Amino acid sequence: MEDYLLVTENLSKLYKGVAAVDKVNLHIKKGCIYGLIGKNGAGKTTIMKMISGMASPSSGSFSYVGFNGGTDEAFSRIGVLIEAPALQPNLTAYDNMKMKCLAYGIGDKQYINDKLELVGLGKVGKKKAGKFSLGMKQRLGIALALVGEPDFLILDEPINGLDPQGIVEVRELLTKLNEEKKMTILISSHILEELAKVATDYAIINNGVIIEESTNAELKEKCRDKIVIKSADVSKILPILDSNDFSDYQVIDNNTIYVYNRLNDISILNMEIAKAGIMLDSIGVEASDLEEYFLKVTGTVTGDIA
Amino acid sequence: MFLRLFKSELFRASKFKSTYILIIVLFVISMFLNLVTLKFDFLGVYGMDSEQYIRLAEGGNSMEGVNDAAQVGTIMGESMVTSNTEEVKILGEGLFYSADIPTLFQIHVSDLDPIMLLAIFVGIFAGDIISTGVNKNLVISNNKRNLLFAARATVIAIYAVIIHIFTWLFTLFGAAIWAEKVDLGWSQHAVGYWFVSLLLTIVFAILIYAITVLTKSKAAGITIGVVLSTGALSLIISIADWAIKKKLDVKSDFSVANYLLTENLGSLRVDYTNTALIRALVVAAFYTVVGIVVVAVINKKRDLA
Repeated sequence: MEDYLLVTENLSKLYKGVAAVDKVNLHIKKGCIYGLIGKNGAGKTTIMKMISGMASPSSGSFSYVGFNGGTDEAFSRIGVLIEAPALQPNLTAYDNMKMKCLAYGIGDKQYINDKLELVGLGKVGKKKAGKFSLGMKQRLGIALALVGEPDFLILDEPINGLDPQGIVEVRELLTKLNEEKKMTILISSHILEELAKVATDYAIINNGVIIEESTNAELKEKCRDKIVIKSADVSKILPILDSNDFSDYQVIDNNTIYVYNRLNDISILNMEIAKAGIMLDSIGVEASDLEEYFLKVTGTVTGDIA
Repeated sequence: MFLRLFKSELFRASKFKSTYILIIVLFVISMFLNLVTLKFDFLGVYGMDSEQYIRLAEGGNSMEGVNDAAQVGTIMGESMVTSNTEEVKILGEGLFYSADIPTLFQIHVSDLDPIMLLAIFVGIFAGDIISTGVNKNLVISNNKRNLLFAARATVIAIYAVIIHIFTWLFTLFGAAIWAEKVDLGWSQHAVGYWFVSLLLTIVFAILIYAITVLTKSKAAGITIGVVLSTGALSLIISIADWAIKKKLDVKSDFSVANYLLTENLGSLRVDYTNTALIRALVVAAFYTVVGIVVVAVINKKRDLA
């Protein structure tokens, strides 16, 4: 069994009888950056709220198997930024931090300054949070989530409102926290390309249901450009692939083969298969990035992805 | 954990401007009340002379009764009090010019202005949690959230104590300026009144906190608190009394008001009877339990927004 930090089992949440989250099974490994992908209202935030104690599951359970003390210990080792950052607008960034630090028994002034510095707010610590831009609020929200050096960081759309430089900084920060402090991170974002740059594992959620859970490598494999062959005679096609140097392939099911090399030689492959007298349903090159893949698996034609 | 949460909440409360402004408002209100009770010459304003006052007082009328008589006499044109408008004067010896501090303090407390200001503080302090969603920063299970409630209730109770102490200090200050003498008038009853009225004040604050949490509304908490402390429910209470007396076999002196926090606080006197004291304590205990149960159930059942 892998070294999991959090496992959910049929985790569900009903609102007025409607399932916002339906029998979700997540397996979050220790030390991973776990990307939660889904449209608006797919159930990402609800999942995050349930596993951070903000909402009670209607049924199912979650277990912090990576913590010896169970949920209580886990809750003391979790940092969260869920939905909009919860800030006191009448307080400065420093005082917002101090309020949380006091609740965590941290009284060190330098600690607060270091955290503000870490998220790029070192120079605006005395500015009231109510006067912050959206991006600055996000940064402060991340700084608040980092108070107490959590082992598990839950970030809901953390790069919302950030400028391009801010996005890069947050990405680098998350990577640094993950690599240097071995922090496990659960993150959702509507900017899938950005998510793809940091996440090591993914779950795609749609209408409260997990469509698939995969590693970054598996997802990249699925998103690779490839020749897709559809035929009822898959077994007869394989020797032709081998003998014509189309060696990097994968049999997906009884009717489908993906070929990942010599994509420009599709006409040659088509001709060789035809020469062998094998009927094809279709053959063609398919290119997809994470976004396209997401749209495909969730059955989304157009619309906002978040 | 409680202590850490308490420190955090105390820090939050200390950062609200309203925490200090309300004390200043209390000072202004208190000084106005001091001026009216100690220096405002009701008799002079209504053109009453001292003989009329003595006659009314000897007739067994209380100071409030004399005050009422003066107003009735003027407004209704009754012959009981003859106004002499040529002798109108505003400042002089107020109705409570010679009263001791506990009596003056009781006037301030029973006026319910301090708890009105307290309700505003509680509404702001508790409502802010809802409007900012600041609870989300603290990852704790719903069960442990009761500790957070306890920490906040403690901060609210401390502010209630501060309001109570300042009310007493401002009473003393006003008396030092405008009263005939400063008579601390300490007695067992005076001390008892001080603490029982404090208890009712704290419980009122906790109840407003519970209402704010229940309604998830800063405005609701403040509005209900202000309405309760301004006596605006008296008409509803009268109707309820009438309805209950009509339907149920209750004593003629029964009143719903006897079972309300604000009415107990408003009617409690320094020279309280044992019945009034026990009733106040029972009412305080009842509403404490109600407040705690309401918040505990909400904490357990309600998800964070």
